[in-house]
Amino acid sequence: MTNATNTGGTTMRHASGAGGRARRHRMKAALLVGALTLTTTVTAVVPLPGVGHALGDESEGILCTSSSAATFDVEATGGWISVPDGNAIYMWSYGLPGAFQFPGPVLCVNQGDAVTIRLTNRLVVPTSIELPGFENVKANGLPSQPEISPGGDLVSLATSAAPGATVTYTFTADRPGTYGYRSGTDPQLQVQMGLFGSIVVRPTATPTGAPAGAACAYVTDVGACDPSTVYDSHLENILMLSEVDPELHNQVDGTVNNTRPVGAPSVLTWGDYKLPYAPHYYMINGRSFPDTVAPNNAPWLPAQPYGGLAHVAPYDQATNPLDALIRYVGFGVTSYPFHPHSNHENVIATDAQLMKSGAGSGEEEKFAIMVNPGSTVDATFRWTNVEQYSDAANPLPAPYSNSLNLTEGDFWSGSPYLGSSAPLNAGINGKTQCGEYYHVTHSHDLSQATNYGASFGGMLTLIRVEPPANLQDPAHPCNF
Amino acid sequence: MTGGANDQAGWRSAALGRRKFLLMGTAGAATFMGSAALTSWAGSDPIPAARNAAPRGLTPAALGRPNVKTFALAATDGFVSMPQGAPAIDPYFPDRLTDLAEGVYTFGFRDVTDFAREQVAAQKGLTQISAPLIHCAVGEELWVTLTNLGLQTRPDLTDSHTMHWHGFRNAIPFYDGVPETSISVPIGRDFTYVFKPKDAGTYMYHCHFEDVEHVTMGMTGIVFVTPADAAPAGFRGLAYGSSDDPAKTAPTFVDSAYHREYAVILTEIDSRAHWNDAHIQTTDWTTFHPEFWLMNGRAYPDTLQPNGVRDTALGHLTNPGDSRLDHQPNSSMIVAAPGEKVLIRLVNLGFQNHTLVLPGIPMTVVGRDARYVTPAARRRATDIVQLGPGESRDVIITAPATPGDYPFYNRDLSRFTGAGGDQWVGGQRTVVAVRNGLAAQTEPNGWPAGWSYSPISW
Repeated sequence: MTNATNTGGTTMRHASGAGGRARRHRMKAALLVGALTLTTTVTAVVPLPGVGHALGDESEGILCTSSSAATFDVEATGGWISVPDGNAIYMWSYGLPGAFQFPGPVLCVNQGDAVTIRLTNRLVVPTSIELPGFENVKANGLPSQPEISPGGDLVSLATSAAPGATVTYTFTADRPGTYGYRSGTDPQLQVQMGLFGSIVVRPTATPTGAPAGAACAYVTDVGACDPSTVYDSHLENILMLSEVDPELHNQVDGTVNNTRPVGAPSVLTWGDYKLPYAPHYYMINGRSFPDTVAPNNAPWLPAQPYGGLAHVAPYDQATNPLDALIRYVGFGVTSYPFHPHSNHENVIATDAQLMKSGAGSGEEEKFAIMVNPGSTVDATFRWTNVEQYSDAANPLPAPYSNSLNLTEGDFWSGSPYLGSSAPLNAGINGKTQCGEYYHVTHSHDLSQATNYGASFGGMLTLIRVEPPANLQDPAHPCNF
Repeated sequence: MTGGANDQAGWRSAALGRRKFLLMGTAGAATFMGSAALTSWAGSDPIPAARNAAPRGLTPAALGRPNVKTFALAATDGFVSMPQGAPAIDPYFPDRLTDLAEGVYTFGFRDVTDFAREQVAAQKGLTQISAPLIHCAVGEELWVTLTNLGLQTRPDLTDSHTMHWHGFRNAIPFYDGVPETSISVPIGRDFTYVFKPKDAGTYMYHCHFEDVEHVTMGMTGIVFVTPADAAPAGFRGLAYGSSDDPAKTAPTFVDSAYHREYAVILTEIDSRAHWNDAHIQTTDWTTFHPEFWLMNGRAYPDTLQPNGVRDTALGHLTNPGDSRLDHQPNSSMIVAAPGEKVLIRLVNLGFQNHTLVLPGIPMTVVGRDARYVTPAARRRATDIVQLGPGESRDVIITAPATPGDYPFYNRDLSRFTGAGGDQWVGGQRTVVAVRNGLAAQTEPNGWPAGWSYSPISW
């Protein structure tokens, strides 16, 4: 994770960061080239997930946009994203000035901050930001209010900005947690078009007696760090879940950009769209697998800055006692049943409210987490090398077949043992580095774990389990 | 040594374990499963290797692992039956490739535990939905050997298969069954998954190869783990035990004790997708649109038919009362005597949320995703249980004092029946049948003792 600086001043933002985005890139060029060379495939660029990136550097995990004054300038604009089957999809989204991105920036603020979001509307229709979970949201100094058209229709749930205009939202980030923000204007169309993003409010309380790098996600009723929500600040992830009906986007694209065929409908509002809503792409952080495991700010995904790879090392009470944190945000119109492989996740909060069942009770441990429309779920995750299988000291209990009698996968080192590798069968394009484990984590509505119906795609990403130093082969070390 | 050499030589780690050397070089050489499979790969032996990857003479006991429970699954395809009277959905249902009047093409897992290899091979084309019920206890090692028999109706499809234990804690990829992150089992081969469960509860398993297809085609079942603790006097078992109970000083887990237990898995059938698979067509899975909603692989009223019966000569499961259901042997009738505590293990491996209701019998949810829910953390009782895809619940009910049939069904009434238009058949509906004079339950779901869960004889 990293914190970039958004000063609220346009000049500063344009001066820093590639493409006007206020993010630091620490992409290692040589490693990137290596990854591309090794993994060129016919259909998509699949990087080696995590290769060349230390646990917790800004290439993976949550990528915050923050501001010392908690003041953010965003623009609602249109632009294109790519999906793994080669399609380009026209989106509307919130971006930092001059730079289209999808989804909107992850705004990170501190508990108690007086937050200002200045939204400039570069779309051809009115738009707004709705901030569910926050109280007393003001727009241009007055309470943000629903808007009724002259004909009596509820056209916006929040104070909107006309095309070309700016509206300034202000509120106080009273409570820590994970929040989603979204368009409140013609939301059925505009949220589907991509107008959403997330806000993370960090508590001011810090863990006591915890190892270096520990942070806490939530506070108790008296404002102290809640011990059940302590996590490793280097292993913080956000998974923003959404879906796309490509035909709807195609029709809006044709309308906005004047490219629609003669006689095709003009679609700028939900009411204009006459086809049944039919999503075919499912996304994490605006990307579909395998793009979800590409690093943050991957140059080949210029408008989709956020990766979704979760990266952990085996839990060890002495040397690695802290859990990873996963912040789920649901932006679709259905519930996404998210299933982490390899271990349960411990739900610590929903909708930015701490679970009441008690610190560390484990009563909210789940192997499928329902992320409902508009809701957020925070969960901690750890993986423990319980059986400690090793080639020399503790081999697998049952005999197993020669690899020629097995089908091997790309994200497989060739060895069942953590930290070991072996040559793969001919034709397998191996993507592992140092005997690390990969586990999938995905929607268990398996039709959503596809790219337009093609299996092993869509709303799916990987958990990379790093071999601890004592299990690494010195000839093939992991890069951290 | 040839059979084991290719894979073993490649490990980058330095030394071979002593036991592995034995496996490769001496005891295993003649019979090691890799050798057998390589032989068949060369074409001289068309029958898959023995159903247990550990061959005779190299048993768990011989390997110094006395507390191993073995189970064997065969993966194949075939046709199953939707209820009689279900209206046609032209051209997809019924599928004209089968003589079954209400036939649907599926993939499935078949229980081939204890089968000779000829019997295993003979299961090709004999699908089963839902998959066999698998269970073991905390403290046991579970070895599940999966044999891929190939597809009778689609010889052009060279799909591998896997077993993914959904929810298994701290899994390693090798035994997690995700083809992309480890290995899968090609046609004519087998592989033994090893699990050492530490946590009681209700889990599920399914094939993860091209998961959206293989799961909805029928390769889905229930696996559950019972705690190490002994059942309280008068009860048959416990859903959760002392190690699952966070309250160490005043544990409450004995409230999960039961006299009878039943496991019910919820799935759906989109007949167009099944027809497409049988007829060499592709499916856009993002247009999934089911017409039948199943409990234990059957739609109402087949849900009320009894469990299948094993043909002891062939090893096949049959249903003497109704041969249509030969490939759907799992009943979802819940039968209990008045006053008995009944554990219902619920699993959803469909792609939709499901809401089950049991009017008139309060349900207490004691487990959620294989995690004990303490009395302090649970609702007192409920009439409704909702499960999302990939979730499980453990529910305890007390059978009412009055014998009779108590409907247990999907409260989304569009799934109370099938979508084909008949208002009575095709949905998720069963009953809790309260009867006097029942013998004590010996196996889950009313299966007879002996055949389904017998210890392996080497």
